[in-house]
Amino acid sequence: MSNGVIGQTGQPTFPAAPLVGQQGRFWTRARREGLTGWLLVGPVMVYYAVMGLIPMGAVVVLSFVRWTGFSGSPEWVWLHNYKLLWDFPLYRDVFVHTLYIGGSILLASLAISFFIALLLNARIRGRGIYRTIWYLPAVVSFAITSQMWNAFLDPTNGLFNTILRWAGQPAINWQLSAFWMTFWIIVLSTWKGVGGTMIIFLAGLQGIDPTLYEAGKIDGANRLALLRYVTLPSLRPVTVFAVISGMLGAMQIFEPVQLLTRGGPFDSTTVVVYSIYKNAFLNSSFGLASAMSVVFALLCLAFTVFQLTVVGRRTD
Amino acid sequence: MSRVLRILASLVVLVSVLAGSARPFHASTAAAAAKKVLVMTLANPYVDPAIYLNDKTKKTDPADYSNAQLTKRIFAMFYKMHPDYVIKPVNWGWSDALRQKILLNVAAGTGPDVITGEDFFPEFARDGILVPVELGPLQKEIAPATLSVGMYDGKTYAVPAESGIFELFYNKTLFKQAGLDPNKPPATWDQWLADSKKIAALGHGISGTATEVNTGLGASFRLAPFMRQVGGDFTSKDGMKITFNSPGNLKAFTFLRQLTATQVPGLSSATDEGKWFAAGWWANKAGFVVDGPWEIASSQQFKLNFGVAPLPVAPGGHPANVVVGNQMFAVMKASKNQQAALDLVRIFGTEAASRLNYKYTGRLPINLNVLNNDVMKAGGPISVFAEGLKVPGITGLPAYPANPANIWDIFYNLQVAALATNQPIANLLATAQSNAEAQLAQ
Amino acid sequence: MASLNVLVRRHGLSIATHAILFVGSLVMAYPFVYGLLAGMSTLVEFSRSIFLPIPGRLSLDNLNAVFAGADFGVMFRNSTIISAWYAFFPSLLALTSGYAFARLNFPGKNVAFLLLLASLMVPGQVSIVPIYIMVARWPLLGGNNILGQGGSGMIDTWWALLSLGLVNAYAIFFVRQAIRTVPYEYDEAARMDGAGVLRIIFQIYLPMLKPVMATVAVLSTIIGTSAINKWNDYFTPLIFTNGGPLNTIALGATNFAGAVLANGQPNYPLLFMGASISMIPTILVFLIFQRYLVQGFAMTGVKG
Repeated sequence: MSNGVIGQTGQPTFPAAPLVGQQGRFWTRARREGLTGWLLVGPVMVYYAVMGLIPMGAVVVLSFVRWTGFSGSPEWVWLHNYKLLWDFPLYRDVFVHTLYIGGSILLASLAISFFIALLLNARIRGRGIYRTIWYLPAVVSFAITSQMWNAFLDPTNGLFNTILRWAGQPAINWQLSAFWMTFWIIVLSTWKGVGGTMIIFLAGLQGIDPTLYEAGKIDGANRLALLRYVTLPSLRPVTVFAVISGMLGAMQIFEPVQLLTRGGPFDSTTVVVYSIYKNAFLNSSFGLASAMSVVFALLCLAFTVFQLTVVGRRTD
Repeated sequence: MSRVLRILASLVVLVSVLAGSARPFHASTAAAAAKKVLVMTLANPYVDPAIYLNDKTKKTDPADYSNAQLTKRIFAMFYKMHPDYVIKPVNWGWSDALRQKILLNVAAGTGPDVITGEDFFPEFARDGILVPVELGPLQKEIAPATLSVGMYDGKTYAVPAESGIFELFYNKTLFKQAGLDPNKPPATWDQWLADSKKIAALGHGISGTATEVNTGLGASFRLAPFMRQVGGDFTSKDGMKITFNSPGNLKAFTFLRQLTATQVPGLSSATDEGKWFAAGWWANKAGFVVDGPWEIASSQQFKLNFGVAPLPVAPGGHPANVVVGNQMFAVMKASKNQQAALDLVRIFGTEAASRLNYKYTGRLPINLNVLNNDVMKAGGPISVFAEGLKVPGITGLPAYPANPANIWDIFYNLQVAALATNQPIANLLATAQSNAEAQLAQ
Repeated sequence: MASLNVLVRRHGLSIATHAILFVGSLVMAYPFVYGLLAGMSTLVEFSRSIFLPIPGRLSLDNLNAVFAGADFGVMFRNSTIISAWYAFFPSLLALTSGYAFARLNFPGKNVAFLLLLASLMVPGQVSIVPIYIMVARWPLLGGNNILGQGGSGMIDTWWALLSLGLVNAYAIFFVRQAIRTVPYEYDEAARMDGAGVLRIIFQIYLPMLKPVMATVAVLSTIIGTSAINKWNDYFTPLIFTNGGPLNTIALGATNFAGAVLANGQPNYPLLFMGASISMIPTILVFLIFQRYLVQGFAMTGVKG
């Protein structure tokens, strides 16, 4: 109840607690708080331990075995699966593909959604409708939109080739071109994901203090300068959030690959999640799939921690 | 606007709950509790009669209605033997989805008693999750080629319900236009190539032979017979070694590359089988196509003037083929009703059931009595398939010992490069061979 | 003409903005319009389409075909129940635990939070096998004995549909961020009035966090289990049930993605009709809750 409880940032601070508190009781305030915390968080953690951590632990353990996943007994092979991931270009390339496909999706959706959020932030008529339409692809099922996209890519009857023919160009056989299928996967995933990141940026833009803009204008800054010196810095925490959730989404795409390309012409669009699924269920190579999951999770974790600490912390 | 939407949404929720509240919430029914339950996965043409055998489906989905009638009659045969059982059909999809569900169920120890599928039986038998089927006298009644796809280590693990192989379809109209005798389809590779070139010379977007070129199993199927005619194949006889790089395969691919050259360029790279057919064979724009018995109905639907002939044979080669569309049923080892399940799968191989299947679906039956009496006597295009099924030594596509999906991908890349590009085939075969062996060595 | 220049300069940016947004919206909405029209076309009309299929009449024949053999009432009811459940329960958990992570100090707090975050990084493709085994071998359900042997556990029951993914780490993260932006004085004042933790959460923070809760509960988040995410989820019913009385709209619609004509070609109009039908409810729900969307993110994003 004293002032020392509220810290500089308006968050509670927690002084160290002696065994027996001020009034000689065991259940000090800090201890009661700890108990309350665990009562609230406890059920969540128990559920998570059973349904989330145990399977994850099983995956980690299984990354050290060779097993079909359903029959026979697992064979302990230690780091052999990890070595396979390193040795075979087939598996190394999976990570490379994920990096540049996921990276392209992330960059494209960040750039487009930021730009559109800027436009939507201006007070123009009908912006509610625009906002709705831009967010709409994010609301519908990825599996279904992938199927629709499959129809669009049809070589003879599909939308894109029909437009090409109408424009006098020869039809392109998309499915046999590694370049084009990569392109379409990126386009489809960006189309789906732009709405989500756009909303995040929009929210961030609306939270910027207008007086900062006023001050900038008084100093004679034009629109571009305002963007650079007021908008972007104020958006840094939002950007970190957008980058993390965008990355998690972009790196883990599965439905477009499974339904459009099945790993792509000549393995060019095989991304991590699809490769894991393929190795686990189609190759009956369960240990390898588990190893891939572990490596992928560690890479994501590293990236997230980097974003949160190095990039994010500069605002405080 | 939002208010209206809220009211609308509440109405929708109310209506849906009311509409659905009369229906069952749970999967089990009271009737099943009285009898023993045999769970089996079904796939087209077999569908759950309880769902599809009603008046509504008769109007909106006549094909499935007919399939439901077929299924009911097959079930009736089982119930005569085991009146204390009730069959519970489940639909687990096909290919990847079916495979995933089966594997998960085996891992968890829950699982159907009977499964259906096409290609994974040798692999599952090797993994020890299937029960061997004792066919007894029935073994001699079933076409050996159709049984081969379900055998492992000399034992039968699955019983076929219907089957198919590949034969040569040729367009009689284009034959006449090119000055060829429509009653004399080619019997050798050389003749086939020559005829194909003549038809391609007609121009106007007409292809000699429509060859499937894509990264998929459909194309591999259509290459297999020719590889086998000249002694090549995917694997050794025991299935343990990869034999992509062999003189037989080299011969076959060289020939097929020449054949593919008679195809209109845009056509040869269509990836969707349906599209490739629509633009070529069904549009009267292809002289030849290699396809299975189902093509008879489709071609008739498109009113083509066509004929079916046995596959042309290579010089110095022997007739060969590959089994396709071979739906089979097998019993899971984890089943608690193995005897009843075995009786059920055996039914599919009997003459009565095979005849029913042929009558309802028109697909190639697997029972020799039906093949010889019903199909051969009827004559027509389907009899060419029945005759072709008798060629000795026909098997299905191989089951690779490890990493099958990866090895198939390697072959898909090979087939596209060999048929559609100019890279030296010998090199392509060698690369594919070493890549595939590397996958096995993992 | 000077006035025209002035007009353009003053409104030029606004015109350009409108133009870009408008054209962009057309691109974003195009697949939906195409899908809706294609769903109402016949096969012939569809094969003749160039930019958009033009149905001769707005026929609902495909609609009948889509749901032949499938009980639409059952699917809709099930999807609604599942979505409603997942709108309510995970968000409730997220609210209480999010508050705890933001305001309370307890041993192991940071470790617990990091573990929760980790769940967002592990792709579910392999962990589905241990989860499936666990679900099928759950003791005392579905005919299982106390050791989980004998029956099929939660498989093909409502348990499987309603008990997976109840802990939404993304939502917890979200709520925690949002609460941290609120000054601690609110808690202080409430404590002084003698309020317990639960009262603080539900009587003070819940009203304040309505946009956040709406976002987390209903709207589709990139990862997580919101009402809309669950509506579109075909994977869980596919893997854990056999359809039938447990069928959902999402699962039913994907079955039609596999629908093929006799010649092996996909029946595109049927596919698009199935797709459009399954999208409509999510779009409606989104329209209702969309005004909370921006506010919800605003309450968490700014202070980081």
